[in-house]
Amino acid sequence: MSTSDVLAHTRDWSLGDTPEQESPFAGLSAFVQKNGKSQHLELHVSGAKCAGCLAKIEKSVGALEGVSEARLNLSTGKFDITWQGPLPASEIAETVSGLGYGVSAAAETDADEVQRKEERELLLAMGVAAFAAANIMLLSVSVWAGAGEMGSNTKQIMHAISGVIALPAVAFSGRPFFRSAWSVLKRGRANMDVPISLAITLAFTVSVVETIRGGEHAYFDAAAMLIFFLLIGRFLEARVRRRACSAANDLAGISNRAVTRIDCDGNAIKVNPGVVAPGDTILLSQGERAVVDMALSDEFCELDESLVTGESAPHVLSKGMRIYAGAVNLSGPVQAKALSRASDSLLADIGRMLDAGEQRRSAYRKIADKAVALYVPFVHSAAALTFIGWMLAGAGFRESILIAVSTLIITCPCALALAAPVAHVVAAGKLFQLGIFLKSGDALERFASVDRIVLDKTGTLSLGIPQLSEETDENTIADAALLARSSRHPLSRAISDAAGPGPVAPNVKEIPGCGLEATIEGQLWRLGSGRWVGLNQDASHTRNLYLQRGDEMPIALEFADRLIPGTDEAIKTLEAAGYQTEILSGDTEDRVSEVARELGVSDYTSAASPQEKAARLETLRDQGHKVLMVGDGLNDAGALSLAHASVTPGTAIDISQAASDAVYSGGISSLPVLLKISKRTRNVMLENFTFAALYNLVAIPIAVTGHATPLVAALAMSFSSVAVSLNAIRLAAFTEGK
Amino acid sequence: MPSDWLLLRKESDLSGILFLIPIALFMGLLGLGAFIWSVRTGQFDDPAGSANRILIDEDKPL
Repeated sequence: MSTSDVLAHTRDWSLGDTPEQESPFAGLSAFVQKNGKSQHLELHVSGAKCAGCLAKIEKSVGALEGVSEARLNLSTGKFDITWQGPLPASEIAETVSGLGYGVSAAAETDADEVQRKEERELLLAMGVAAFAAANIMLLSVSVWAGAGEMGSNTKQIMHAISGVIALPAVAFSGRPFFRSAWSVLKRGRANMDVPISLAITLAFTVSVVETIRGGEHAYFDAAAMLIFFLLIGRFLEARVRRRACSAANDLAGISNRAVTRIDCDGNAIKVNPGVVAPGDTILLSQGERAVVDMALSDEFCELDESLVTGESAPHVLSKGMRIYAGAVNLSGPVQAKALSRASDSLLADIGRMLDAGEQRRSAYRKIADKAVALYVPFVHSAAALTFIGWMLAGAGFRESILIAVSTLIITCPCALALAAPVAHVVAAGKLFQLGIFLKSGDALERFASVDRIVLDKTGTLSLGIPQLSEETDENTIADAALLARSSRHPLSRAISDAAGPGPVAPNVKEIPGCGLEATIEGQLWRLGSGRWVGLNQDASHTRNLYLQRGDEMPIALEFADRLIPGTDEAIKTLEAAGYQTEILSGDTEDRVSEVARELGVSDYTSAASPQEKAARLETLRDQGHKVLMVGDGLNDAGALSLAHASVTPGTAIDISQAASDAVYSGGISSLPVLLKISKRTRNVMLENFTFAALYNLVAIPIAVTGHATPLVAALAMSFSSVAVSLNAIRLAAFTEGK
Repeated sequence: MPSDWLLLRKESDLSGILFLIPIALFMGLLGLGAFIWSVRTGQFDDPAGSANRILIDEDKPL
């Protein structure tokens, strides 16, 4: 008899007779879009990185019956499947999950679509600008090379052709800048796009006038090149942002799970969480995660609330108590009354907390913003003074405006606009290789200024999965495993993991809230809570399990939460690098102090509620600390979003990933690298801005004195942009040893 | 501007550019058209995937 058979026949189901094992993906069917005969499903696959993964996933799913199309987008993780016939959606997800990749329903938001559109538009604009810049340059080179020899009429024709090419390019490719500049100007403010739009428009207009009048210089090439270089920066920024968006999709999987609702006839139907109303009866099967807050209608239920509270031990509920969204049911299927809509649940509340944090974060002034704030008035007054100066010197209106415009062009913010995005892209790519997924470019700046690191315990420092204490006697483990192998309870799993593969006792009965029992060699064996085996204990004491063989005295099995390998060294490295560390956990005092002692961290807070965690972060902020918060639980989400910067482990498939700036895989051993690369990136950016400033210091005198011919402008512009980009590419050469 | 064209001929024999520039622009526009088509059909949506798909062997018997 296999384990699953034992399970199927002996489990004490508290509701109905549904002996089949509920697939964790059963709810996906609610997300299938039907289109005539064919069905379409969008999944989000995490963990696929190479050609091998791509081929494996697409081929395995493509081989399923009726699948006509299976295409995985490796850049965003989105997996589109189209099929005909009766294939259940859960089988597709199970196939992918069976290959070792994470699967969830793709978020039903339009955000991704909007970002994709934006990226495409920028790419198109960039292509048009590149075409124009290259072709105008072709003509301009002949004008410059033929200086002195080329007749004025030929030159005029060359300028005219350039103008004809430049007009659609400026009109089409310049839109992103014009739109943004217009929208801030309407509100009486200015951003980087204002001087850019001004420079482009003036350069084009002046050149048109000059061409008609048969003048010496036209700046069509400068206008097109300016747009092209700036669009490169914009495009790179958009790409980093879109990648981030795909990471956020991951966590939508938590609330995007179908809910089983019992209708008035007593039939169970799968529905989308969005349609659940307060008062609905919900069936929460074993292993299922609650999506809305609800009150338990059954007598008893055991929950894993680690996502909500960070507490690693199961939590026992009795009738009428509140099941928070995010909790996983560990006992048999239970019924509960929904207390709120999915949009009003604890999950949604935390979501709103995150929005608040997000707003504060967007108020953070990036280095680039500061540079622009200095740049804009400086360059504009320089151009204005140039114009006035030349007018006073009697150069005439036409001459003066031409020189002023050339000043605007040559001091173009190309280098400034590329300085940050290129560094961000290179650093994000480097971190991605190291298993750290960066969600926004400016997070690097915040990481770089961190001075204190606050760590959650469960799931961040420790595995968050109970492990059987090493001192337990081997015979006891082997005997306990006879019973434990047939249960999915976390403590039972810890026992069977410790014992390894082995036999299962026949007819094991699982009594929810008590434990497992079976008759072995004519004796009644029990594995369960202390009270159940006859010891005098209160019910909340779920830390230990007891094994009772017949009439023998019960033997205690102790469990502990172990540290993630590498945590110890990571903390030491961080402390050596001058960071202060602190543990902030929702777990109980003795467990937190144990971990703190083990790691040598003297500062710790235990039993902190999500609100207390958030408050602690506020206190530290008021003390002037720049805090890096590391945590994985839903209870950390508020703190994560309030921190100066935050990271979360990839194991946390939840809202916390959305709340943080980066997601890492493995233990916190990647933190020192992340902080180091961030510091380097900030240095490179500062170098770039310094370079851009120096460049302007040299360029402005040239322009002001009227020496900025189109040739000089083109050379200076390209040189500064290339120099800044090359400097940023140095980041790719980062190795851990340095 | 027919007079300009005549002047152009007189100054030096630059009449070549009269058809060379249009040809160059036409070829450039062809390239631009191809680029716009590739963006519109989503060929730049998954650069990582495209780079890796090259490596996947089609398991067809020879």
